[in-house]
Amino acid sequence: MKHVVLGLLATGPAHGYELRRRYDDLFADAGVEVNIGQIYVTLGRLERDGLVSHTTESGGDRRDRKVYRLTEDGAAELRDWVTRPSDTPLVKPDVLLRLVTARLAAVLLPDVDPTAVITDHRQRCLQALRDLDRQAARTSGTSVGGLLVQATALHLQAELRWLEACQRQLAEIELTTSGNGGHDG
Amino acid sequence: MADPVLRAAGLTRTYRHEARDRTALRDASIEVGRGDWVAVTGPSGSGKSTLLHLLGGLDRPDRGEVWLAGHRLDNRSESGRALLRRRHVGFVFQFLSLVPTMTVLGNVELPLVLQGVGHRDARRRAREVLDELGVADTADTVPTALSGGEQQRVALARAVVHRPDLLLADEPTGALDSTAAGVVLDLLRRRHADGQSIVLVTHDHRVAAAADRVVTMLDGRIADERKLAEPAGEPTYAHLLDLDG
Repeated sequence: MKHVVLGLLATGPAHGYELRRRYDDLFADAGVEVNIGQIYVTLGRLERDGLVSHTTESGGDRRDRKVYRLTEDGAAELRDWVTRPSDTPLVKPDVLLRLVTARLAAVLLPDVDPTAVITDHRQRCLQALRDLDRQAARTSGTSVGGLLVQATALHLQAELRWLEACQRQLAEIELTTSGNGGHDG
Repeated sequence: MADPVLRAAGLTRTYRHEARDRTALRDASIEVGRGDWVAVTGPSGSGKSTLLHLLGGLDRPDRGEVWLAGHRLDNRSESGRALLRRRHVGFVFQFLSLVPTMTVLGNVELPLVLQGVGHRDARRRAREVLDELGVADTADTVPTALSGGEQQRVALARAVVHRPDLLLADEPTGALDSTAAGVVLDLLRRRHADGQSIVLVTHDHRVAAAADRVVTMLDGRIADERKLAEPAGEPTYAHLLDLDG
């Protein structure tokens, strides 16, 4: 959120409601909307860190408005963030860890079916893909929101293909740990 | 009518290959109510196509029964099964089966003509479906002049044009790029909304996710069968697009 707001200010100074309009123009068709409170909270933090500053503009007969602009530090932070490689985890191993753990605990938890980890997660991915396809119908192929929806849909499809591979291959993988050699002879 | 449009119980099919038996399908049961949309997924060789062929009467099971629109299908002769199929099923094969000596339009009109629909009406309805699938401009050419993706859409047009009791489709988006697959998916959604019963085999999870029920096959067995829900109230994807990080 922080860097998105810096980016929105990079196109020119703006007050809070104008920033929200800029945000929604980009992202609202992907189903992600922002409320004005989030915008102001973010602006407050950015100002505290010296990345934005504001001037007060007379609103005539309306309330005075704070107009925010990037500071030099803000522009430097924006450049740094945009050019730094993303540190998002490429793959989240949570499901695989659950699967492996369910297999390790087969004796301790005999009523837990490891394949249910796969089938439950598949259900979750398929359901999300179904919901997302409805959203995709509301986005345009040439909008930022459309690209966001597409990214998520492609990730979900990859996850589903991977689950098929898990289901096929996991049965063939022997789970051995260095500690289990002596226990069951 | 409360009867399911399709009911199959205990289907098992073993093929003999080079003096060895390979069981392609074991004890598979499935029921498809009128207006249901069922997607069958699973890795290659898991028995998806075998199941579909048995459901459509292209092949017969070693054990088990198939009932189509209230008629027992599996114990009939090949011509008996073909007759039932023609009456009740639209079939999209993975190996395309368009008549090469007829135009695209002629191919798509065929199921209507066989139903006794008048020539003019048949022509109009065939053109409408081709248009819906974005291949109206191929109407007067022969199927062999088309790309694989165009042939696949023509085959689908022929399978749905007469609004059969049941649409059976084997990888209906298999030869399509993502845009053309979206066109096919939209058509399936519209037909389903109009009450079309559908069973399709697919590798494409986008297609599977559009169905009401997803059957997952593994090693010739039905490993899992799940209903997909309509989003309750607000859709649930927003958390997937987390911009707050």
